[in-house]
Parts: sequence; C-alpha cells; structure tokens
Amino acid sequence: MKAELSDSADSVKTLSSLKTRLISSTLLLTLIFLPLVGVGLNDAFRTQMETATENELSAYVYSILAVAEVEERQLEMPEMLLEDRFNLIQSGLYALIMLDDNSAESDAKRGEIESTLGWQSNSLLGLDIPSTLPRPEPGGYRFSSHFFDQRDHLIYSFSAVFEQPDGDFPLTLHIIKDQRDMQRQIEVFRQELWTWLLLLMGFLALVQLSWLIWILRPLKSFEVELEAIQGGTATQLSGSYPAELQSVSLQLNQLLATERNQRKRYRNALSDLAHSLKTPLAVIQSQADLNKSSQEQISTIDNIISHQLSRAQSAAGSAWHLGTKVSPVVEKLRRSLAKIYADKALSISVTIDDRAVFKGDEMDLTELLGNLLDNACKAAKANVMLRVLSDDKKLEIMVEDDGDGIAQSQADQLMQRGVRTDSYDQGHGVGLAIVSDLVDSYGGAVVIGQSKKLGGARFSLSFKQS
Amino acid sequence: MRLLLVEDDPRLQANLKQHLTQANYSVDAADDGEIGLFYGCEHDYDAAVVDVGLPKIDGIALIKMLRDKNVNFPIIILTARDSWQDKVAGLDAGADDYLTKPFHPEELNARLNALIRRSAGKASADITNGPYSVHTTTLEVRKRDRVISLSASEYRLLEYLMLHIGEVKSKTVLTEHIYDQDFDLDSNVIEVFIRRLRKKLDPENEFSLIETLRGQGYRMRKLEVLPGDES
Repeated sequence: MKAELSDSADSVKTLSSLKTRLISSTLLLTLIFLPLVGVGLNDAFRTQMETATENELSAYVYSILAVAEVEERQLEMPEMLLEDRFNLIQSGLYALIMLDDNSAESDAKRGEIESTLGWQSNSLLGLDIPSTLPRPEPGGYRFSSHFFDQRDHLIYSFSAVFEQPDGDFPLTLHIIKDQRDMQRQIEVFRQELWTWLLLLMGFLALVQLSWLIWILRPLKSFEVELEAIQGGTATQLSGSYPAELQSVSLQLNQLLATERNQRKRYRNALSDLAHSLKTPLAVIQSQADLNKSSQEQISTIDNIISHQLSRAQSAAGSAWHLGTKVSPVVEKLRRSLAKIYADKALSISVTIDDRAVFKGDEMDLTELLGNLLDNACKAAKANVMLRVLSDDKKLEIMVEDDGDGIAQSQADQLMQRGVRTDSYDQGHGVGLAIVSDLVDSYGGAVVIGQSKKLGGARFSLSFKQS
Repeated sequence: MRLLLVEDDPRLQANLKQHLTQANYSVDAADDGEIGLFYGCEHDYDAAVVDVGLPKIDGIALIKMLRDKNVNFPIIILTARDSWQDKVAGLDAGADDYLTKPFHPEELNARLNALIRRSAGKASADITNGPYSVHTTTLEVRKRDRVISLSASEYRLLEYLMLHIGEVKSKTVLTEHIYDQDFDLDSNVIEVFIRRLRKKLDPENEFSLIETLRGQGYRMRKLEVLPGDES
C-alpha cells in the first residue's frame, strides 16, 4: 500500500516537471498525428486507384459494346478486340457477355432467369467462367470485387438491351480485371509512404528534442544553480537568463543577499554584545579577592549569555537555501581540537561521507559539532570517534568517546526541553544545552546512549534532508 | 618566563598583569594590536596572551601577522565570542589555545604553563634533570626529596634553563626572559643569579649543572638519571 502511494506520488512528481510535459506532448504529436496522416493518405490513394480502375473498365464496356452486333437474335463479335490484353490468354483483363435466355418472359423475376454465355474474350480461354456474376438492372452498372481464378478481381458489369424487330435482346457485359496490379501499386505506395513518414517522424522528434533542450537550458541551469545554493557551494545565482526568468533570478539574488547581510549584521551585533557583557565579567572574575558565591553568580550569568546568544544566532529559520558541506567543517574542528587537547594526545577518528551536506548554516553546524566533539574530548581517556552518514533522506552524526559515559537519568535531563538555563550540569556545561536547542530548531533528533565500541557516551544526531 | 599580554580593557589588563606577575611571570602589556605587534616582533617571549577584540589591529589579524613574521612563541587567545567558529578562526590563524571570557585567572595560568612546557617539548608539568625537578604549576624545586627554596627571579632563571637543557643561552636572552621591558638591568645581574643558583642547587659542584661558555653564555648540562633520582 505504501509502495503504491509512493509510486503514484512519483508519477505526479514526474508529470509536474515542465520538461516531461513538453516532451510527452511533442511525442504525442509526432507519434499520433503523423501515423493518422499516413492512414488517411493510404486510404485516399486506394480510393483513387479504385475509381481510376472503375473508369478504365467502364471505358472498356463502351468500346466493346461499340463493336458488338446482334443479328437475328444472334450476338456477333469481332475476332480480335482493339485492346490487346483481351486477346492475350490469361492476361488479367477479361470480358464476357451473358445473354438472358427468357427475354420473352419479361414478367419473371430477374433473379431466377438463367443466363448463358454469349461471348467471351480470348483472354478467358482455359479459365472457368465465374458462376455467379452480378446482374444490374438494364441500363445500369455495378462495380464490385469478385474472387475468381483463385485471386481477387474487380468486375464492372453493365446490362444493355439491344432493341430488335422481334423483341428486346438483353445482355450483360462483364469486364473483369485482376486486382494484382492495383494492389501492387497500392503496396508500393504504402511502403514508400511509411518509410518517408518514419523518417519524418524521426527527424521531427530530433528537431523537437533539440528545440526543447535549447528552450529548457536556462531552466536547467537555474535548477543547477539553485541546487548549488542549497548544497552550500554557491551563494548567488550567476547566469544570465531569458527575460521570463531574469526578474525571478534578480529578485532571488537580492533576497539571498539581503538575508545574508541581515544575518551577518545581526551576528556582529550579538558578538559585540557578548564582548561588551563578558569583558566586565572577566574584570570582576580576575579580581584577586573574589568570594565563591560571586564567582558562581558570574558563571551563571556567563552561561545564560552564552546560551541565549547562541540561540539568537541560529539561522535555522532561514535555512531553506543554506547547505554546508560537513567534511571541511569537521577538518577545521579536528585541527582546532588537536591543538586544544594536545596534552591528552587523543586519537580522534573520523569517518565521513565526503558528499554529506548539512541543510543549514555553517556557523550552526560548527557550533553543533564543536560542542559535541569538545564534550567528547573532555570526557575521553584516549579515543574519540566521529561518524557522519548521509543519504537522500537523512544526515546522521554520531560522536562517541571512551570516557565514563552518561547515566540515563542525566541524559534525559540534558536533552529535556525547557530545562532552566541557569541550572547547567557542571560536567557538561552549556555546550550540550546549545546542541539540544540547535538540533531542535533544525527539526532534528538527539539520542544519548552508550558507545558499544568505545564504552563511553554516544551522541547520535539525525536530520531530515528534504 | 616572559609574557606578552595584549588586552585593551585597562582594568582587565591590570588585574591579569598583577595575577601573572604573582605567578612568577614577567609581563609586558600592550593596549592595542599595533603595540602588540611591535612588542611581539621585538622581543623573544615565552608565550603571549592576546584578546580577540582589539583596537587598531584585531587579535586574529595580529596573530596572523606575528606568525607570518615567523614569531613562534605559543599564543593563547582571550575571546568573549565563544562560538566555535570564532574559536576555530583564532586557532587556524595560529593561536595554540583559547580561553573564553570570563575565566578564572588560575585557568589562564594553567593553560600558559602547559603551552610553555609543550613548546619546550615537555609533556608533563614536572621538568626533571638528573636529581633535580621543577614543578611548573606549584613552582616547587627539588633535589631528590629535598625542597630547595628560591627567590622569584632565581626560579624564573632556573625554569627557563630547565626548559632549554643543553642549549646555550646568552646573558641578553636570559635577561629578556626573566625581566619585563621596564627593567633596565646590566647583565652582571645574571651572573649574580647564576652564582646563587649554583650555590643553592649544587654547592659541591658535584654535577657542574650550569656551565659557563666564555663569551657565549650559559648552558644547563643534561644529567644522567641515576637510581634514586626518580622520587
């Protein structure tokens, strides 16, 4: 069920792509319209051929009737006809005349009348006379096809009445033509037509696809540049676009620049605030005669400032266009931590997917990883392990150490939302509270547990990627 | 040990200077980045404490400039901006450690101690040479089990020589590392302190601990570790 749902969602997604729409409509035009034209042309050609044959046969009727004579109720025909094919045996063009026997009984129904062969062209010699032949009304004609001599033939039948002094002499003249020639012509035409149509279809499809690629190229580069911004490798759209996209790209650039500048100004202001609040605290704390309770108060104020400033600086709200590659950030932090913890000679092992991207701001990622790794380095005896796994759906960050670990109750308290900001756990300081807040603001999840490999604490962070 | 302290807030500078002097450092204080850069290039310090937010040249830029001029003494940055991005920026610029404001002065002391030791290639807070040991955090000097009491100047001189065992140090270098720039002493004072140290540490001249190299300076001899020296 779930699979079906996702399938249909995928197909909706596919159809919502402009490119797919344009390509499918183009292909529909080529694949349906051109074959229809082909069928129509083929049909018209066949009709045309049949009409031409009908005219040809009707012309033969008149030429034969012109040479036919009836003398004393006897049909007389010349030995040879003008058209050679009537004289050549089995030439494919035949003529025969059927005489109506009962010409006197005009009342009788024509269907029951017996006909006898009055004359046949030489070309019919050696062939059986077709048994059932059409018999149109006197003066009328019929054009039909007939199976004869094991092949399809076209028959033009014409009934005529010779008026004789002793009464009418009705006869029916049949011109029979082998369809083979016509069918061959139609076949040749059909093959040529489809060959050319297929070539045309291929050519049109190619032309249309290259048009599409040309037309869609700005959209493609727009998409690529947007992905680069989301992936953190670019901060602005750079390409020049066609008029329809130009204003969108300009406004988007402006929006991105404004947002970035605002964030920068905001952070500078907060940073100055931190400086101007914390230097006096440092002055107080550096006084030689400071008592213990004052020291505690200073520490509390310091923690609150750090925590609240860090919350205020988070860019999670505008993270849609932000993407930060994880590995350079990890590399910088590893260098820094190696300096800070040089005395402990820790081994910090890092396994990281080079393509892993955090969908958010670099400062926030640095803060998250910095606090987690610092915490692990503080707790560790000799080993810290960082693993970053990433796929299309989520990003997972795992930090483990070989320290004493964290009790479950302590872990719950650490990650509890709304923990009072003035009651930081002494062992872990404000860092983990900042981590918890940041993860929350990015809609991620934190799990604290025990490291199976190293035996100390294990922090697992996971973030959705889409 | 001679320190450079670059801090623009006069009260914090005064408090830290007082604290560090008490901890047996000689301290040169600078109010802004420019003076800091001048001092840093002019004198061979054992370590520097640099605030990030400085007038004229900010702390990060100052550290970069010093490192570009091949100034190699360890530097610790003081920062009110406690985001990891700022810490990483400072450490990447060439600082060796950081401390976020506010901090306990003892913490600064401990970090400086560790940095100076580390830069002299010593991993532990205890520096030993044969039967002698100097504990750089408690400032205690022992010959085997016996504690030897030294004046502040004598201690500074000994600690410096202990951190540079086997190296020849001229009187000028020794003067620089033991006194801050406000002192203008003639180099005979070093001779006096060396004599006193020899008397207190090795009265019988059993080990010839501090050698005199005529025209060059003084050298602390590397002593063999003998059974019974390790306690």
